Amino acid sequence: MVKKLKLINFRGVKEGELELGDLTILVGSNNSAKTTILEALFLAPNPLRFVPYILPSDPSGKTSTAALIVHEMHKTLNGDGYAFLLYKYIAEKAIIQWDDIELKLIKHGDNILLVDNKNIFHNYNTVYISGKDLRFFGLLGLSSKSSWTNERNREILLMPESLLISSELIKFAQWYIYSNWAYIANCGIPIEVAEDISHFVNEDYINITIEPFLAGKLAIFGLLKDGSRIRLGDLGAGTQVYIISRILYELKKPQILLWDDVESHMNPRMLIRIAEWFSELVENGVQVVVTTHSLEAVRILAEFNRNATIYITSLENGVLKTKKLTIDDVENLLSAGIDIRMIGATVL
Amino acid sequence: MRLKPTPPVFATRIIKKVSKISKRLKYEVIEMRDVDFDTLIILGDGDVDDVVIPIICHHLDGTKIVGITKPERTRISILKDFPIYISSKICKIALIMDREDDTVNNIYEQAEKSLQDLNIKFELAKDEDQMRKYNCRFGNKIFDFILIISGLDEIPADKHRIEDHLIKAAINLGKIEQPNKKIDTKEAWKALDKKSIKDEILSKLKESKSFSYEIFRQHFRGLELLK
Repeated sequence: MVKKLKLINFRGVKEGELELGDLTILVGSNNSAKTTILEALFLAPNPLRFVPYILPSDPSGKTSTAALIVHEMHKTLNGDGYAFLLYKYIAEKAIIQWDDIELKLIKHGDNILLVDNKNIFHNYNTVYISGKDLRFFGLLGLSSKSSWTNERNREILLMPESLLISSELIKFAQWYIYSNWAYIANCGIPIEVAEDISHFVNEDYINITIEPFLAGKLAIFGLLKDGSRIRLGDLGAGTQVYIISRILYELKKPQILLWDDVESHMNPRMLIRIAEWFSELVENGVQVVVTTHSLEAVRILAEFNRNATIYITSLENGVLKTKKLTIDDVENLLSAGIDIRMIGATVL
Repeated sequence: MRLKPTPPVFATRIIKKVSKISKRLKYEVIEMRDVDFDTLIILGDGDVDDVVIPIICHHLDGTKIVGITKPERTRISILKDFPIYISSKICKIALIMDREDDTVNNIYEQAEKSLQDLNIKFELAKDEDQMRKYNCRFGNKIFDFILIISGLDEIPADKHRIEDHLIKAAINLGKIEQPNKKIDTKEAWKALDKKSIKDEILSKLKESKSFSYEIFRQHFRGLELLK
């Protein structure tokens, strides 16, 4: 479990740190570093590890790396490159630090070198910078989305495996699920997930399948008890997100689950199921960190997880400000006319 | 003075109301950015406070950002929320409430009793017509509490409210006659809507600081202390 996260010059955060709980809920206005915190936790185990997403735009059809997924989330027009990971695109070095472990992203020429302080990777390369040798286990392109590491290094994790869920990543996950279907199906994951969703949608799903749709093109279907099928893409967006998330989780069993904008596309019933699921995960030792703009989501998540750590976050000239609250604090403030989403963390 | 509304529904309403008077005013008075503030205006009741108070703040020059809210509790019971406010960085609180059918002294007494009940130590620092400032201490926290009571004796009414001031503005602008018997100022103000002169009165209040000051004297005097 990651107890304390510290960021220096990472994305929009010049500096900042926060303590994480079993379930941490980040609330704040837009541009208050909530997603940045999740991205740091997603990259931290190893930016060049493979994650269960495939970019349809990638002609190789290969499983993407964590770094490439974060890159895709921030891609603007055809601007490529990982400079966005460095504060204001110009910082010489970004640091993601948790407990006693540190991942440094150091600018060097047209690359960003990935450097750790644990010396656990299979293979390191060395560059000579400022009078000393610097060992790095991989690199990312500063102005291109290219990356490099020794293949064996991809399996090494500096932090327990983390999985980032976001509604904008679901399409990439569908391609991954399609590419790994035999394994997923043989593990019995689809039946388990289908049964689960039947509890809160008005349909009796018994399985999830991949079958031809029109013109022989494959699609992911929900198989109903009466034998009929509904394409995943034709289900409600919230149901799609939940199904995909459950499949990815069951497949990868990450020890840290990160969910950006957890309320996105979710009705209260679905949120209740997610809250219940999070509570099961926490009981099983999985750490969960979510962001939300919804106080309803905070209430529901905290109701199932009374020990949830709620943070209001804000950025002040790049400095991350946080304030830890309980659900009772949030409710008391709300009835007193102070909505925590409308104020900076520094007010409290 | 710039106002940062803290609950989103209230923010939407206040922006809509203020933008009706003038688009320019909306941008000058309402602050929506994620900014720090240590001063809070609490609207204790009433429907028109959220359009009137931004006009007054518009005249109180400066760049100071002040939070503004309307809590679930109303009137003096809002003081029960004071420990919540002062557990934050807030160190100046202005509560604006209608006099209704109460006496000003009775409202002061109720406020002081509530402060005592909360173990908040206080001393009277300023006592003006329908406006008082208290220097308060709660544990180590020192804060100012400004109580502004809306309503005008010169307007004959059973219940005195912020609408009294708007009716006075309408009288001074020659829009209506001085009433010679008791009126319900809330209803009288509502009735002006039909003649579409509400906006004209509010615009005049927005344009002229001296006129606005004449109408909302206790509000100006109290809110000036927040600067």
